Amino acid sequence: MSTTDVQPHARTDTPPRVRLCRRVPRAGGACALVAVLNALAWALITPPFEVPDETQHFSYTQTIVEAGRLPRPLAIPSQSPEEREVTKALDLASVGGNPVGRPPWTRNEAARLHAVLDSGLSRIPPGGFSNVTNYPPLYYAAEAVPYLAARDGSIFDRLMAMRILSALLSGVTVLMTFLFLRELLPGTPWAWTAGALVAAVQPTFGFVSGGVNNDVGLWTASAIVFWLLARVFRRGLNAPRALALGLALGTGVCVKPNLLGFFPGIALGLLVLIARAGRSRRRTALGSAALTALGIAAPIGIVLAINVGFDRPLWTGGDPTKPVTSVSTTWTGLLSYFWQSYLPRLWFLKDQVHEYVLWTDWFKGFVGRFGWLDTTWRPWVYDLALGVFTGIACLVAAELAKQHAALRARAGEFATYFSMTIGLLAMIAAAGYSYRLSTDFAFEQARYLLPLLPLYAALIALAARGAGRRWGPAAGAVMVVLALGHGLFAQLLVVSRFYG
Amino acid sequence: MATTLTLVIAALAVVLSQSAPRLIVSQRVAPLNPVALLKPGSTGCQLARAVPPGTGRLKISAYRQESQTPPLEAMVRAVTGETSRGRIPGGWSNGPISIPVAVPRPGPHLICFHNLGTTSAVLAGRLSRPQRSMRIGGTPAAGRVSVAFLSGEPRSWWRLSGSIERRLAVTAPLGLGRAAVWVALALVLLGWVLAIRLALGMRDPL
Repeated sequence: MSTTDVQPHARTDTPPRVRLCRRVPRAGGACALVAVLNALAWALITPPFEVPDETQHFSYTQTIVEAGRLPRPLAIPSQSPEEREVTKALDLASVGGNPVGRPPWTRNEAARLHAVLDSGLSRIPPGGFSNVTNYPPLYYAAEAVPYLAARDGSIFDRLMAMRILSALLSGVTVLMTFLFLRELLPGTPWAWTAGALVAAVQPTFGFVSGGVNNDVGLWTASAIVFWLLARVFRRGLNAPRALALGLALGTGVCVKPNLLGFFPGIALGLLVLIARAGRSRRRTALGSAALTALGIAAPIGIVLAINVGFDRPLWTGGDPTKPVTSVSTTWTGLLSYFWQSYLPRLWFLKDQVHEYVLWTDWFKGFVGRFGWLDTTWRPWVYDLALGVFTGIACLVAAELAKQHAALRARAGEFATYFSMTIGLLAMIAAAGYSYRLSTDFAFEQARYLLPLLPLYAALIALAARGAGRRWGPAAGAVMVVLALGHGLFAQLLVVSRFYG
Repeated sequence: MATTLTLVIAALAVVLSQSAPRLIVSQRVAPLNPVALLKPGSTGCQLARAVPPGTGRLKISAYRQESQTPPLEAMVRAVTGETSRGRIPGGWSNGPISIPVAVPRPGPHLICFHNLGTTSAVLAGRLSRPQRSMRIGGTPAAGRVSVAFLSGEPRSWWRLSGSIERRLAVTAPLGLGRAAVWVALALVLLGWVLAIRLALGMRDPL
């Protein structure tokens, strides 16, 4: 882990926009393009509304465009007659969770579906409650643009246009991941490419990025945050960087509030940076940290004002379709659940999850679980993946052991990333705890971990470096090919699930 | 890297060349609940409105009740009275099983499963009203058994590509129609070429 600084960029007379383009490395742009191509392929092969919660996410944007308002937590339907009838014709309820259920493909089924498409049903949703209503509107407002662009087309055309935006966002996520690796491991350019490419074709990332889901926007915001944070650790905290970091965080929270889980880690990072600034520059560093707070507050403030303007609850409005029941949550229960959500249950803890979640939900979900989580690999594939990831973990451990001096020198930075990770995991566990108590269903899905995609890419880059200077690039290339194969087989799995 | 790439491509070729009986139409009844208990010697029957042409196997989800799984016989009878039968020996594993039955003609059929063994078997399906449920010895079971119709002859993914192209076209967006699957394939190939070029360019400059 080198701490080598990059050469300062030469000043030129070229216009700022051209300079910005030149500052994006070609390899980074190419990795982003791989991610976009991959997500577009996923968008084409995944049947309409077969990405988790895609019906509700689509409905949110349709409410914005067609009804000119935001959905509200009211006990009225959320979907437009058009979406409701099309999903009925697609028989989503019978396909999801049914291993022998398929989307319409016979001539009769297709004729019935096209009759619904041509029937001119109202596109205006009543705008009531769904499980996404309480999310802030930023991602959905952005999705309104492609929706409008394809407004003359069928519901499938509009959905595809929205999926294209998600695919483009996945490209931004991978570009930011590449740039994060560039800041994190400045002495090993080839490792940036290896890490970013493996992230770009990760199947869960590609699958959801080929659908309409605000997680895609969350991952983009998170990757920007990681990049900016690595940048301030490497280049110092100044006003523009601090403000940009705050704006990225605030905007991310306005896409999906899960990003709040990063806040304790970010606070720790800012404290480290302020302490590192020294007495002479402490006041400047404090001012910059204040700018970060301002940057966070600005987008959140705008969203709060929008919520008030559209007669929505200030932040979240609960679920009006369910009776208010008093689920008794306790701090000890939450802590126990947090532990069991990620680690083996200790003998003195009450069994709250009934399974080993790290394996059943996180690992298997990361390796691949598609559709409405009903499309899985055969069991031996997960065992094989465990072997591959164990090998990668050994290489990472070898590299970290080699670089312990550099690790110590950058302890504050790594403690920040670690705290961000713990914060996100705690945030997911807190949501899962109350969900399990009230429904007894599992809440955990691997996609919730993907705000940490840049760290996954960093582990891949470290693993490649762990193979040594001579074999490192070859190890990186092998991991890229394995990841490409993994992604392609995942796509074939989905094709066979829905069309085979 | 070349070795890994060769291995991945070889694995892909093997998977795509594997032949097996394939699903002909969607089966909307999910095998989610244990709905019919077939005791030794008993027969359960239900009506299927449309058995598709080309059906050569019936796929059900069956589970053992005791230590051994019994031999099962499937019988399909068309409205014309034509009947065909097929069976699988005992010893099958819990979960999906397929029984070879040559269906003489498409259309509505009575589908029956007969337990030929000395132990019971449970068939999975969905809880439903008695009118739609399987009947065992004239008594309605708890629900309708999930019966999927598979092709008689095994088909590889290569042979299935035309069907996939047609099936994907039903919901294909932006006027892509039957080209949708090929556009997706082209995008994947382009991504692969780009990624491999990038991977080949990874060098340690020091």
